[in-house]
Amino acid sequence: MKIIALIPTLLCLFTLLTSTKVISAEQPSSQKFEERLKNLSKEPEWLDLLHYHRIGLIAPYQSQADDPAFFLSPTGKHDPLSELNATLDAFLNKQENTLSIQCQFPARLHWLKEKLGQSFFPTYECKEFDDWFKKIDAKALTLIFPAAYLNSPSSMFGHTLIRIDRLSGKNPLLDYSVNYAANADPDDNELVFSYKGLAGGYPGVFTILPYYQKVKEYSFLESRDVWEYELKLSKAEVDQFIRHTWEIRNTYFDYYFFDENCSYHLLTILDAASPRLRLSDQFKLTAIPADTVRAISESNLIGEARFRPSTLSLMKGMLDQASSSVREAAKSLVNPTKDINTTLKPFSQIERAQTLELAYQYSRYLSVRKKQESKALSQRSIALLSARSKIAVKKVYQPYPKPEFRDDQGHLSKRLEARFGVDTSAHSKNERYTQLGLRLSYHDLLDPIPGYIKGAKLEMFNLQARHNLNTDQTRIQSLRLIDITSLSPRNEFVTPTSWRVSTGLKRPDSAPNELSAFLSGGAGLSYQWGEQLFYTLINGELDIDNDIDKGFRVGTGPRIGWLTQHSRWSAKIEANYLHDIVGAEFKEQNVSLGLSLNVSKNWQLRVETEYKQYFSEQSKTKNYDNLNAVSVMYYY
Amino acid sequence: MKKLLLCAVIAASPLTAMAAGGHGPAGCGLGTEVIFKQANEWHEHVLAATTNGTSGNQTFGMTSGTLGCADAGGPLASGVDLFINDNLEQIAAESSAGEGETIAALSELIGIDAKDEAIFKDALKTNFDSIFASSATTSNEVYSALIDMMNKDVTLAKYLG
Repeated sequence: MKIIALIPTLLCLFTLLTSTKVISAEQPSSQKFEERLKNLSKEPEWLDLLHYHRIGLIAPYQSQADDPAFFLSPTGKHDPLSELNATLDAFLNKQENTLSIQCQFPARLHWLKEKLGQSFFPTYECKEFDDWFKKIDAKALTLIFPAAYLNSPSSMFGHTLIRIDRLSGKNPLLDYSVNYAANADPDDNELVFSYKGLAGGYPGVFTILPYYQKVKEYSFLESRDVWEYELKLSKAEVDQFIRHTWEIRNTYFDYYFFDENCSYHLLTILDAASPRLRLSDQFKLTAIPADTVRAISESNLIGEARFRPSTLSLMKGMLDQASSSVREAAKSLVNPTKDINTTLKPFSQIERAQTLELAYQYSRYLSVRKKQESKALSQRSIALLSARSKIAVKKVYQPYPKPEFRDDQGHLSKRLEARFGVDTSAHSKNERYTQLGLRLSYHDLLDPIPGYIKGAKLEMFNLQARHNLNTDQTRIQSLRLIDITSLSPRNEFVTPTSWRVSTGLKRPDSAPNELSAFLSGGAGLSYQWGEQLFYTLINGELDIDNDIDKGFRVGTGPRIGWLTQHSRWSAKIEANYLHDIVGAEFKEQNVSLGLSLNVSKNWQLRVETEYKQYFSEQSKTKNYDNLNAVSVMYYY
Repeated sequence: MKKLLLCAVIAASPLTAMAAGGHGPAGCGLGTEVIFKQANEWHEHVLAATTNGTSGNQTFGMTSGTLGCADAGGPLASGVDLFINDNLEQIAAESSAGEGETIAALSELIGIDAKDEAIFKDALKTNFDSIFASSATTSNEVYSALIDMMNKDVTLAKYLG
């Protein structure tokens, strides 16, 4: 580690010493050779190796590496030709430093040797790199995509990493994985943390970890299913990927959550591995991991996809397969005072093993959720395993079934919406309107469900503009910045809380001419019977606007609903009641029905109807509205 | 707030303690992990995982399998100790059934031939109580018990260095 820390210093010194020298090749000053270098410096592979990419609307075209030690030329970040010259300079000079620089940049060296000839540069042995390269022992690459997890809709954004499959071993847990993440300062509080994360205040670094560490994180700690996609790359491409990973292992890139994030930078190192790949260029503004997986998929790089269920999924699979008496016995066995042998007596050998395995999983679940005192529970967990070890039969549950749709096979993440609607209210005539909506991400409860989690909604930036056909006026109807709902069903074993949070601008019923800021949230319970999900939440809402009496109001009240989601259609009925507790007096209640029909993967028709009543103390009026709308959704 | 992250983030603290100290007699990476951590530790680990908790020390150190200290030169291949330490709970769970990916990985890491893997997994099942005596069993004790188990087995003894 100490040697590595010295390298930037050495490089700086070295750059100073050599930057004025010309190339000492066979024909260093020939015009033809200079022309050749000029052209080489414009080749996509060279630019990819230097991480020249443009992202954002106003960003200059330069390298995204923010670490001066990554460049041999002082102007390397902006000038690929000067970096090429400096690299050649360094590789050719028969100084002591040449060795360290060749060993520092094996991917550049490999590419330049391909272009200029294998014997163009003096050859050195790079022991540290060679040992590492052998240890990595790469055969192929696998893209790892942890799927969204239940009760955390924001995980739909996800994460991606790359596993390097070994040539000599067969168990993937022992492979290494390449991961890109922000190196956050643990002393920062969450506000600073999120600000810096968005604004690029943290250095992003690549790390290499054994894959079992990642499996532990996702499968056992986060309870997150994982998709593993075999990448169809040649051995030469895989090797260049490994060499380039070595080059950037200590290089930091400023980390931005929305664009220059984990998934984006994985694409840039894949791009650097092969001239045929141009994956990262598709992402100009945001790079949502699922979209980057789609980009890789569209480049025909994906071979077989494997599914690795999380422990929570495995427990769900056990519950689906176990008989009700096994379930009941398993649930009772987490109680440390319950006698294991007596409880298991009536069962067959297989059922006993099933009961013990389910009881063990449940005991670990309870421990993580802190539902029971931990020490006694741990002792019980080991007692359950001990009892299990006495039963000879090995596999007692069927493997968890691979889902029909992968996370990357769902609808695309941005949405355009065209709506036609009629509002009938007590005090005005029928108001007919057309409305255009734009949503930047990601999924709501009526969107096509294949590839997404049931009962989960995550929307960011949803803008609705309405044109009133009666008055010929156009105005912004609403802007929801964040809208998250998680309806996670409870059963006798798992007991998650359902919750929602939403914020943005909207037109309150009592003051429809004003856009008011709102913040609303709720918590409650959901239960599932077959394909039917029922939920009930207690909501609270704060509205702020100068036209509301007292400038603000806070209301609270219940919400109940029914939701059913199928691959071709979804339906939802919901009732809300909201009553003031602080601020302006008001009362709102509504019942709504929504029905969606999926025409194709990225097209949907929707019908919505809503009846609402509201009363505001301010205007002393009681109103009734009936809203009907049809819309077409397009996902892109 | 951390739930809203687009991607994972490295938080430098949680695993540093393990990396910095707690080297057991059996090997460099072997700590004083117990099979089941206390729930509050678990909770921290869940948080750590959400934020991709890992120490900078670990990131490339793991690759060389040393974590800044020389190989202990025990009877098992280097890295076995770290693997046991990191996967204790899963190893216990799979051992009780005599089946699973984690104990298959352990078998491969020890260098057991594919044809003897089933024998190794069966031995873990048969010897479950002596390897995982209680929930307070440490990774050190598991490591030693594993060597005892292999020593007593005609087929497995040859894989001890």
